Amino acid sequence: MTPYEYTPEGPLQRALNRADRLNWSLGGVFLWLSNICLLIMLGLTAATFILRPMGLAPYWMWPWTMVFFIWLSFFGFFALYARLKDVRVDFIAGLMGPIGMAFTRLLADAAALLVTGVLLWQLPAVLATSRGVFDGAILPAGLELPRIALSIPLFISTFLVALAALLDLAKMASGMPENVTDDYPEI
Amino acid sequence: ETTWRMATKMPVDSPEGKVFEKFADLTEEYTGGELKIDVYPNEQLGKEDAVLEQLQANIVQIYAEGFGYLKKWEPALAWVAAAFAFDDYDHWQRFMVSDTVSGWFDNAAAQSGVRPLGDPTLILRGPFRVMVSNVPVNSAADMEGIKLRMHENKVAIETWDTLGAEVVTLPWTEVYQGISKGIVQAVNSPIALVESMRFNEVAPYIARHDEYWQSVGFMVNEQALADLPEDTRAGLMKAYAEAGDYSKEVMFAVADESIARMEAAGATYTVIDTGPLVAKMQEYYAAMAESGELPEGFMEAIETARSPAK
Amino acid sequence: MAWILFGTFIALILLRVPIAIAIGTATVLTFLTSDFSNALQIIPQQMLEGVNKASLTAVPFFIMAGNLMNVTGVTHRIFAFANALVGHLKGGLAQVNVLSSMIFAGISGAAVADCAGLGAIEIKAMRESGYKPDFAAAITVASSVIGPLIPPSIGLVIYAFLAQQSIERMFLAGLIPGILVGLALMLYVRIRASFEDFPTQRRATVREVAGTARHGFAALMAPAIILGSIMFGVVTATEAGVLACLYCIFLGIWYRELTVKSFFAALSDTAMMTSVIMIIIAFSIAMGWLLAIDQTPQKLADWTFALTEDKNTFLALLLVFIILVGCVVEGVPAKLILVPTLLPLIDAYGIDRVHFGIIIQLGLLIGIATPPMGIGLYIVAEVGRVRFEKVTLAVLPMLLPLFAVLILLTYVPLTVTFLPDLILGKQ
Ligand code: NA
Ligand code: NA
Repeated sequence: MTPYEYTPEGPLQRALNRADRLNWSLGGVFLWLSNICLLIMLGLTAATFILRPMGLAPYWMWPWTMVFFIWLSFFGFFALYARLKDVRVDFIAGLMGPIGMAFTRLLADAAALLVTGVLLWQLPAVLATSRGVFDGAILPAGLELPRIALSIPLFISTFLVALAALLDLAKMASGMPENVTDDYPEI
Repeated sequence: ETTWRMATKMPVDSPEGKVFEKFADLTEEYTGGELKIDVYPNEQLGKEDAVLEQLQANIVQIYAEGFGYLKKWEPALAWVAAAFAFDDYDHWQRFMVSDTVSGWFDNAAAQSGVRPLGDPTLILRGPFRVMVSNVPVNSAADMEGIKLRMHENKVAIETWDTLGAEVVTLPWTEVYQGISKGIVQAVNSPIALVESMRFNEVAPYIARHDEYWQSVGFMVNEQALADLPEDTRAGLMKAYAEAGDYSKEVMFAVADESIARMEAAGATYTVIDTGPLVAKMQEYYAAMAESGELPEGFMEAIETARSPAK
Repeated sequence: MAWILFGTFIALILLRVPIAIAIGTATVLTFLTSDFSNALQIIPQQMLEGVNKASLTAVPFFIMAGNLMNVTGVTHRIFAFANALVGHLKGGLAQVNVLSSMIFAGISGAAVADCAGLGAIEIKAMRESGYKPDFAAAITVASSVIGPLIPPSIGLVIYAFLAQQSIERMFLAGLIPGILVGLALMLYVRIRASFEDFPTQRRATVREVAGTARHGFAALMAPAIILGSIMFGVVTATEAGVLACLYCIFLGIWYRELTVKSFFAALSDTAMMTSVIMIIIAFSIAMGWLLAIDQTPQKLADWTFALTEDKNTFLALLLVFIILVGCVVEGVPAKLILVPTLLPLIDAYGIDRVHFGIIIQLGLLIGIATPPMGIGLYIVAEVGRVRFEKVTLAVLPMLLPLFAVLILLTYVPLTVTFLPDLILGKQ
């Protein structure tokens, strides 16, 4: 069930459902950011092997392909979390019935908070030590892309995953069901 | 008793890997077992930027790689391996220990806490550079118009543009295929890697051109170095000096053997007169200096180092 | 340390934690309990290292090619072609199921595209002509194992990067094993058909064969383009993947079946699959850093060597171990953890890295058809509308031919190394 299919009861649930819808839509936005990165990778790589025999392929194409590949992966982190595109094994939790489902829901949220918490805690250290540029990824001004720009989408996604996990805990506390999709796992 | 972690990109069984192993053994010997060095080969701990960050954090204590990577703290250090700027190895060595370059290293150290262990030219890499091609290259003139593989580096590309080559960027691991498919005709490489990359199979013409001189910098965490007792540090420096001698011995022996093997398998090996290349590049560097793209004092330091100090 | 890692990871996966979060949690917990609890900045740093790998840029395009085939009608045509060729044999549609997967494998780099796209067509056709749904779903999962063996293959791209082998060598090494798995499954179907009453179909007329062959040929061109352009052409593996995608798009336009909507659906699926894989890789590389700095691989090697010095005994232990891991851990993270850990051992026993790559690839692939982590089982249960437990039971006997091929590949290394050595020369 997605937040758009759920009918909230009471003001608290309505507020949480609004936040959940926002979260869901934002997941869609990040999915699109990933898609755009993938399209650019496709375009740049295609252009490279078409232009190369003519000696026209500029050297910045490959580094930028790499940059978009990294961004594709990192933007996707939030998208796949919010849109439930990751692999989950329901089998054993299902055997344990509703208590199993509730326990594993808590566990998954707690695990997500631990991981994202540690990553966000390290953000200052990363900002402080990340120096230099990504070689060859030139910008229109002639400068090269700072290395820190590679990690920023990771931290944005991480922050949003943390919010999504908190939101789910709040939903659970107010008796709302967790989001599920009918999609098969994506790997 | 202290254990240091030393990160490298090279496999254990490569010539450089053997030098690092020797260095570790000698260190243990000369410090009476007080300092032990664990070598982590093959980029096990990550690529350059990652390892340098670990070096800063004193998780790793030595990183054995080119000094060029320090450029993120001192941009001038991108120029320590300037192409065709030096007459010979000795010229380059004098430049590397000059006050100008030492000042660059000091500046990098002030920001990062990372500095060279000692004389930055001690451990040779390569030990020299060659152009490997599928068409004969016997002189600077033969390099005109050759389709040459290059990595995505602005200065390297401009350099070879200036020298008249037709530059094609390609990842290092694609070079063998690139030559056999005719995407490129030639690649610049340290002589040590020609045979292991099997370049000679597709490009049998090997020409020593000493594009630039390279050393393996032993970059250390200053704090870790300062924390060592004085006699331990002395033992470490003695091991470093001896590892330097050993590296020259090993590197040149390995290169000679490799060249002999490749010649036996049908390759030709020549040494090119680099005079015309150095001359051509002087104009380029002069223009760069004019437009302020070169670090302060760079041209002067090269000139001063040209003749041995009296 | 390794135990905290594996233990946490497996426990979390079994308890419904999303796999990327599970591997992240295992990594974080291991860091916190190690000597490096004050060096947590390594985690984000190594995550970036993990995705900043040039050779992995081939991954999305080999996924995308499979997804595109499913939305451009190419998959239907492959199925029709295989049906015209072998549909009249005993157990006809089951044989078609296997052969379709072999053809599909030449373009798709992942097993899921086979299960989800081609699988839906196969199971529907088999049900309609009277096969039991659980059998239809089971043979679909079993045959999807062929996909990541026959090049292109995402698993082999990842292995090539981990073991410092060339992608083209790994691709060539997978070809014969992939065909062997296909033949073994066809043999299995044939044997079952001789004492079970499978529905039959009439033999296709020459005209029908010729009619479908036209499209079949178009589909078979794609593997030729991919492998051919890597081997003899002028492109990198990544570019070959892009070329395959462009070819699929071309076919989709040619057949007038590719719509803007279906193109973007395939694009989104690809982006999400890639992200899942890459985030898993990112956390695994952080974990790998910890294992490397702790020198776990060397310790494991010493320990195993003390156990046995005989190569064949070691290979047997290795097989059992890989299959067990494959049951609980998905192939990509399993490979990311196991390959760097096992490589020193593989070298020490004198096992060829290319050979090992195919062993671990097939060994872990079998895991997609076994519970609890059997992703293939979940997918076919979903697309075939069969109960998970029923498919799981039905697929059990089909694991026998898969194991048989795995043992053959393990003890006759030539089946793996012959083709790459022939074309690329010995290493
Ligand atoms: Na495949
Ligand atoms: Na199939």
